[in-house]
Amino acid sequence: MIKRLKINQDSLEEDAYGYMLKWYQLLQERKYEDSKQLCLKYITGCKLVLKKYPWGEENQDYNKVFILAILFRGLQDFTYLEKIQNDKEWYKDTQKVEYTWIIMLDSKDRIEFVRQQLLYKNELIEIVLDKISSLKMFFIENFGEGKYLSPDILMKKSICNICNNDIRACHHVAGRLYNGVICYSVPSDDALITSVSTVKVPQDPRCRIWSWQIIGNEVKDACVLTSFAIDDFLRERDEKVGIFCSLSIKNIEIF
Amino acid sequence: MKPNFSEMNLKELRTYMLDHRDDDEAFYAYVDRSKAEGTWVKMPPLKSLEDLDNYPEFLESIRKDREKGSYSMQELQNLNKFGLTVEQVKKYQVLCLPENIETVNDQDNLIDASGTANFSKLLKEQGVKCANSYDLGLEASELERRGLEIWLGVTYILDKAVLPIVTGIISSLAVVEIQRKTKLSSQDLDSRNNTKIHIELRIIEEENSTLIKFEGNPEMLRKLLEGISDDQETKN
Repeated sequence: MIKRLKINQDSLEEDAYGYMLKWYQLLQERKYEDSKQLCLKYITGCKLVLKKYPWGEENQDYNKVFILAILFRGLQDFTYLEKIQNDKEWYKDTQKVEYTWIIMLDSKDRIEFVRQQLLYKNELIEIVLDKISSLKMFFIENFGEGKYLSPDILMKKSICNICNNDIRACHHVAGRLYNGVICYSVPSDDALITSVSTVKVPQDPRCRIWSWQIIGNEVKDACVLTSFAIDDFLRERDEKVGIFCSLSIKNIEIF
Repeated sequence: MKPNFSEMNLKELRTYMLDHRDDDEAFYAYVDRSKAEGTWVKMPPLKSLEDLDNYPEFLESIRKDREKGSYSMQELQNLNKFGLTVEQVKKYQVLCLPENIETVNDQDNLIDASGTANFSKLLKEQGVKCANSYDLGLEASELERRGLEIWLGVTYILDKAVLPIVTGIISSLAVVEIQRKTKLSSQDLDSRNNTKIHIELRIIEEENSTLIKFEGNPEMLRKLLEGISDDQETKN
């Protein structure tokens, strides 16, 4: 069981910054497991606050805790990226390439979300984002800009995760934070993928087509949809889901 | 037996064409008549936002179209097929409707665009009297398109005074979506250039009505709507 760090309401941001510095120090010393554990402990502390609401039912600080949990999950993802790049040959292993691509995007999306929410500039966040940007350039140089799969999904009804009402009926705006919970819509019924297209600029770049997945006119076991959300690790069922399928595509010109 | 299209005026022909969507002959008769009566403006594809400045006749055509009153309140009357009366819907300033509301006759087939719910909520936040499919009692499915484009369905503006607010909301929605979907990297520029907004906007007044079917850059839509607002203010 992972121990947790205590989250103090009075020194939320100062404590978080201190843990960030500690995390970065561990990373520079290449103590990857320790830096990962530090992130996990901090996230566990945040989860407890967001579950028990110890500072009253409604409090703006819950939104800060949510943002800091996202930050430390992004740093945890980044720890993996630093560790994998220690192996100079990592990019020759197709499985590692696919996995690293996804973790890089997870880390980037989470840390950029945090940067948008902060009212001040944090130099450690800038350093991490610069490094992620360099890694992305490495992908582009070695594997190209890529093409992606993008599905259309038809849902009978969508429910708001905050109030459980029809998403059209309530006042919660998807993408906004409410008392430490980000609003999104949940399909209440069977969702149906009605079509899948190849696109250059996808909503979810995790659904990338890799050259080794193409055999003739067929794309083998390609990811068309992922369950990624910046806060997926805070939800009750913390598991990643992806829908993979093989597709026949006419006139395939991907690379 | 088919009616004689040549004996119909443009408005009657349009009504017939909308009621008989499988009738190709009616469709082409309507297209030919529209061209002949000079209500169409030909425009090459725009190369940039600034390029819009080179086609002032486009905005002028919208203004003339409005003066001619080519569509009137017909669109509101068409909502009768879903049990909605003109009196019911006229109490709203904006209707955020399913994207296929004008082309299907059966509620079971209505589809809301994925951006419609947020769009209507942001309008309500700004104090606009706005109704979406739920408020109107319509059962609509929702189509979520995962590409980097923003789909807002069909929007009826019933009170032109709220047009500046609608313009602002569309701009901010687009900014939020672009910020969310585009990040660092060399794909940035491509992403911004490729982001499209899809909306069918009808500005409906007692006597006049304007239709804007837009698929393109959000900035271009903002500029277009601001042009219409400015034009309206000048007239007032």
